[in-house]
Amino acid sequence: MDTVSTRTGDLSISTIGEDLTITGNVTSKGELPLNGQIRGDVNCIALVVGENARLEGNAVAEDVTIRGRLIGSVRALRVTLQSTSHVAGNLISPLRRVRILKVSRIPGSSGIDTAVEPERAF
Amino acid sequence: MFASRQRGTVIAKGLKIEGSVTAEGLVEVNGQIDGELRCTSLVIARGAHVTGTVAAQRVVVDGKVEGPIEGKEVFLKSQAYVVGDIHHQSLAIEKGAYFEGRSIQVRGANGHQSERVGSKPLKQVANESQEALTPTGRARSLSAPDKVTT
Repeated sequence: MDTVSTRTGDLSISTIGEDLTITGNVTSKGELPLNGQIRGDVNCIALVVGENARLEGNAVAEDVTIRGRLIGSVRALRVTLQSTSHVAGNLISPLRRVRILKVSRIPGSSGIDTAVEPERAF
Repeated sequence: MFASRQRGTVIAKGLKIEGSVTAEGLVEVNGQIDGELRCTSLVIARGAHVTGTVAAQRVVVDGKVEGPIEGKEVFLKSQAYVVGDIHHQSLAIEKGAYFEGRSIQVRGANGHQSERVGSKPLKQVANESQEALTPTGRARSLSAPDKVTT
């Protein structure tokens, strides 16, 4: 516990731990690696939704990488859905830079539905 | 770069949350939170700004908090700026900290029996005297020159 008072993290990069739940909107001027849960909209430069993370809301960023679960729309210059991702919502990428690695579940109106993996217990 | 089993949370400078934040473990805030913040161990770092209720077992404040603090151990460091009541079992205020509000010491396992100690007026400024106190509360003595642990 004594380390708490002296701890200093990197001020430029946030980390949202697995044990953290945010209900509300998040705005960041930098990267946002999400390992916990957010119920609300996210606006940042680079968003990484980790494998055990969950975002229920809309994300606006330059880069979005999703390994976990997203329920809501994504508007980003570059979107990467990794094989562990489960996405329900729209992917909007004006540069049409959407990379989908292996199998992801996308029942939104992105026009892609590659649901191969069964829904994992969350 | 980031472990997949990341525990603990850092809210970086430049990050703003409008809403409530709940966590099981450690949260370090360098950014801005407008809303309720509940976790086990909390550090509000220098330059951080929290508006709303703050609740944690251990709270270390070196930034700005506008709202009540509910903690077991509360530590206001030298750059702390707190406007709000502090419910605590132990409170330490470093020289230079600003605290405007009531200090309410909670005793007992259930944490509901409160006991007000001391006879100092409500508003305590460790580094300078300021007037316009709100005379509704009591704070424990902060008269020691450097650091006081209650």
